[in-house]
Order: sequence, then structure tokens, then C-alpha cells
Amino acid sequence: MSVLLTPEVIILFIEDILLFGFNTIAFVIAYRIYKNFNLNSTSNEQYTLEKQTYLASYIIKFSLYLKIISFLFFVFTLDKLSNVIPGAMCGVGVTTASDYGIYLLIFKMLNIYLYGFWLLINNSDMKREDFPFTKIKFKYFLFIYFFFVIELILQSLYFFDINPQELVSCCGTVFNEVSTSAVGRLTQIPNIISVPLFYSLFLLLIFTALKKTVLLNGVLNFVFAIISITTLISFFGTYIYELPTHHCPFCILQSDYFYVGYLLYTLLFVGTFFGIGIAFLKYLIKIPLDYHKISIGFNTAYVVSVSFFPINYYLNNGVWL
Amino acid sequence: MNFKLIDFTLKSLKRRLTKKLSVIFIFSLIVFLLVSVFSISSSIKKELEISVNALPEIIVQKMSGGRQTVIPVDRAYEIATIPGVQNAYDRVWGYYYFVNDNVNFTVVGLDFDLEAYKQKYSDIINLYAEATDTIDAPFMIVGSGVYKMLEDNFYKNFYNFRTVTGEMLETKIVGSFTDVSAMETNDVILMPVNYVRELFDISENYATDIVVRIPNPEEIEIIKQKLNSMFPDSRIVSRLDIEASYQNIFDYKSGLFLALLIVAFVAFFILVYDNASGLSIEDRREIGILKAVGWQVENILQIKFIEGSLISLFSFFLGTGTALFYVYILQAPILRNLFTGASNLKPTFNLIPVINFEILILIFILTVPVYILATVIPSWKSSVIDADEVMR
Repeated sequence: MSVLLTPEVIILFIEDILLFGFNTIAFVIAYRIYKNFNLNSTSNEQYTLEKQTYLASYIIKFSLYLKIISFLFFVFTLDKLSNVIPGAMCGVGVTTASDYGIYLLIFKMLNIYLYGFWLLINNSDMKREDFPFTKIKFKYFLFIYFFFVIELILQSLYFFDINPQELVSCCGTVFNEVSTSAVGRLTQIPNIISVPLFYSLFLLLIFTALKKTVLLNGVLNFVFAIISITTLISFFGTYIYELPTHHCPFCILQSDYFYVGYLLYTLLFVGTFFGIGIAFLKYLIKIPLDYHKISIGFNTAYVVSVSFFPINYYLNNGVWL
Repeated sequence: MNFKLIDFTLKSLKRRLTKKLSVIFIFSLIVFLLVSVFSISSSIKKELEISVNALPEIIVQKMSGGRQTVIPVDRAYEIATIPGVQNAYDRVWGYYYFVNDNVNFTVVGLDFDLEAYKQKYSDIINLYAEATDTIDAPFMIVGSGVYKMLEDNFYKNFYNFRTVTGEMLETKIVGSFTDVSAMETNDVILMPVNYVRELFDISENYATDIVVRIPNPEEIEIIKQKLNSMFPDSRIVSRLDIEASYQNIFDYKSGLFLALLIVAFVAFFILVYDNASGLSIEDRREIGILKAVGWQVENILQIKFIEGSLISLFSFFLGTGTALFYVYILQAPILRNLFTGASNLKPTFNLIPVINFEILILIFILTVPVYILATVIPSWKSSVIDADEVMR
């Protein structure tokens, strides 16, 4: 139980309980709008609903901002808890301290994408005079709310499930080559395949973005996100640590590596977010958007900064790891 | 986000500043309290870390019926032969109850000709070496707290100890510690070991406890186990044990404080909500005019959001700044007493400046977004006011 009492965890819960309260208000409004919204009507109810759309949008927008901050804070908390939990040396150990950890992390990331897409829809909605997407964006929010609640439940389960007396594995074991864990297996694709795959995917991304084949570009962005993280663990990470046996996605977030992980993950997130977002909005909600430049810009920045480490290592030492 | 909006918000805030003063004041006060308490506690922690590092690796105490008793001096020689042990010293020390002020002094017996087991003691002995070499009556070197207390009781040059047998032991005060970080030496009295034996009635063959110096930290645990089997009647305390118990006390104290502040926080949330909901006639008219000249609900929400961010950021930095000033420049009067206990002979020490950014981030995340969140519904309420309704 002592893990629960650290100030960081208390703050995470305070924040999430507040967000939950406000999102529930937004949910109720969203449901009413989904049921009764009709721009042609001049009834009193329609008038009230139109006013309430602003409140709901404001809450959802603010939730996104706060979720981004609290996600960074969550990762930071995981890192900090690694001092408390025996065996853990970075966030990996803390995440695997409970079975819910990895799902919680996935849901937290997924929800940021989902809230972000909502904001994209909202922006295009507000630009038009007839609010064509109001109904659909709130229908979509009903769906997001469901995911948000799952995340909250997972988070509570996770923090109550951690046993600070129990020994956990550090990243050295989880991403070991003989490891049998699911994440460990993903990183076992040999570098000779995964690294060229990473670069050719990147070239394909630019090509499809220039050709504006939106759907393919979206799918490729999704694959690119996964391959990027795998290669970061199996290949690029080893050059950041300058240690061929160190495979870990969390240690780069620590001060020893100048918190470079926060930069890399942000670049990757923004790049793939717009890539996937364009396809998502075009095919599911039928809103055409043109954010290809942002997507390409950030993805390129990611590829350049991540490639910097092996090249720099080679120039300094004359050998590859 | 555009700069003209920020500029507009600033100007409009300037006009209504007096109304926002109460919120800014309370917000800064909460941040101030949080930052001060955490800074004091991390500063004391730092101080303790430094003094714990100066502690001996292992202390051996003889136990009898669960209570500590005197330990035979021979054991020190035995312990010194264990491989890995650099040195083992027997220590003669105890507490002397000073009736006048109802406090306990820590009286430490030392051989003034030999190197002491503590660097600090050796330094001070060397400082007064000239005076102590020539003297043959009982004498002592006292901590600054003790010195002041004796002086207040008109003992300027000497003090009469009352030994266990009831006799008086007139002891000359040779000098006092002049240490900046006096937390560990404040209540200390250093005396030649033979007089301390006389004072506490400890015979030549016994000592209070034995300290063991071990240069290699990896060997501490093993040697601790060896000592445990060599002397089943003894308690072996290692430095790690002491460190862990200090850590627990401090986590407990700051955790308690945080728990109390959460209550204050709920009150703060309600206050902000209330303050932001109460719109004055001027506020309503301003919004009405803005809407009449073509502002959208969105824009008004935007300026409300900027207003909230500006107020909370300003209050946060104001609170943090004053707190750091209060703790490290003014040395935290009043609040520090929370942490140092209620003894008459309080250790006087300087708070070492340590700025803990983790704590600042923590407090930032706890206060700023929560404030903005509290203004969400009131801002919306004011932004959907109908222009004609207000202007009529």
C-alpha cells in the first residue's frame, strides 16, 4: 500500500478525479446533443443546447491539454517509483510490477490520440457557419468517454495492485533476447530487417504524403509508429546508451541521457498523430484536412534526430556496435 | 493563441485587479506554504544525509533484558581483528540532565591526546590544543547551544557537575564549537574520558558502546552478521538502519502535511469557483459589448482561459519566490519549529539551500491546472450571456 501514498500518485488521482467529473458533465451534454440537436429548430431547448456545446467543447479541449501534461507526469512518476520498487531501475520495472501496467500505458497513449482527433474535428467544425459536424463530434465523444473511463479503472487497478515488497524485473530482463514476454518478442526482429524497414517506411511515408494517398499514408503512419518504437528499443537505443546490451524505451527519459526521450517521443507522436488523423477524419467522418506538411516535418525531425546517435557514434569511434 | 488577445486580457485584468487580489493572495499563500514546507524538509534531509555519512558504519551495544548496559572494553580489541575492520573504538558518553533548563546535554568522553573517532571532534580538539595541553583540572569544550545555556545561568568560565555519587565536579569551560551546521554538535560537551568515567561511574574496563569503522561499504552487512554471532548479547546497529529510520520519519511528516493541505485545497477550489461565478455589472456589460461588436462565444472563452492562466501562473511564481526567500534567506522562522521538535535545547542550524525541482513541478501540477479547471464552468456561464439582455 505504501506506493499509493507517494505525493505523485495522490496528485495523479486528484487530477483524474477532477477530469472525470468534468468529462461526465461533457458526456451528459454530448448525449443530449446527439439525441436532440437540430439546427433548423427554433425551440428553447435547441437554444440551450447550442449554448451548451461551447461548455462541452471547452471541457474536452482542456481535458486534452491536461491529459498531455498528466501523461508526461505519469511517465515521470513511473520513473520516480522505480526507486521504491525493488528490482526496478526505470519505468519498465514499475510498469510490469502489475499486469495492468502495460494496458494502462497503451490506453493513456490511445486516449491522447482520440482526444486530439476530436480537437481536429472541432476545429473544422468551428470554421464553418452551419456547424455541420456538431452532431457527429459529440457522438464521437460518447465513444471517447468510454475509453477514458476504462483508463481510469485501469489506473486504479494498477496502483492498488502494485506490491512494493515484490521483486520486479528491470529493463535488462524484459527486453532480453531470450525473453518470452510479448514486448520482448517484438524487439527480436533482427536489426538487419527492422532498420532498413524503418527507413523504407519513412521514404514511403513521404511519397504517399506527396501523392496525397491519404488512407495508405494513415495506415503507414500507424505501422511507422510501432516500427519506430521497436527499432528505438533494439537498435537506436543502444547507440544512445552506447551499450549494445541495453534495450530499453524508458531509460532515455532519465537525466543520465539528458531527458532526450521526451524530445524523441514528442516528435514521433506529433508526426504520426497528424498522419493518422488525416486518414481517420477523411474516411470515418468525411472531413478533408491538409496537415501532411506537419506530419512529414515532425516525422523527418524524428528520423534525423534518432539517426544522429549511430552516426555520431560511428564518427567518434570508427566502429558500429 | 494570438498575442493581441493576451494583450487585451492583460489590460482588462488591470482594470479589475482589485477584485482578483483575494484569489491571487490565497493562491500564492497555498503555494507558499507547500513550497516552504517541502523546501525545509528537503533541506533538513540534506543536512541529515551529510551527518549520517559522518556516522560510524557499525555501533555495537551490549544489551541486558532489552536495555542497553555498559560493554567490556576488551571487545574492541577482538572486533579490531576481524578482517575488513579498519578500527574499533570504545566510546564513553551519556546524557547529563541539566535541571535549571530541563534539558539533557550529551557528554562525550575523549582522550585528548589521540585522534578522535569523529572528524569534527578532532578538529575542535586541535583548535584548543594549546589550552588543553597545559591544564590539569577537569575541563570541557561545549557545543554552541550548551555554551549559551550555561552563560544564561551565569556559568561563564566553569560549571559544577553533580556526579552519580553526589559530589561536585568543577569543570572549566575551555571553548565552544563554532560550527555553521550545528545540528549534531549543539548539545554536545567534550570532556577528557577519565572525568566522564567519574561523572557517570563507569569503571576502566567498561565503555558505553563500541563503534566500528569499515572502509568498504560492501562488507558492512557481512561484518554485522559476524558480530551478531560473536556477541549474542549485543545489538549491532549499522548506518543503513539509522538512515532508513530517518527517511521514514521525514516521509511521514511531509506526507502528513500534504494530507492536511488537500483539505485546504478543496476549500480553495470552492473559493475560486465562487469568485469566478460572481460576475459584477461591469463584467457583464463588458462581455455584452464585446458580443455586440461581433465577438464569438469561443473568443470570450479564450480570453477567460488566458485570464485564468495568467492569474495562476503569476500567483504560482509569486508564491514560489516568496517561499524560497522565506526559507533560505530568512531561514524560515516559526515553520522550521514544526520539524525540529520542542526541546529547550533546540539545535540551531542553517537551512542548506537545495532547490528541489521535482517538488516544484509537483506543486505546479497540483495547483495551476486545478485553478483553471475551477474557472471552466463560470467562464462558460459568463460567455453565453446574451448581448441584448445586458445592454438593455
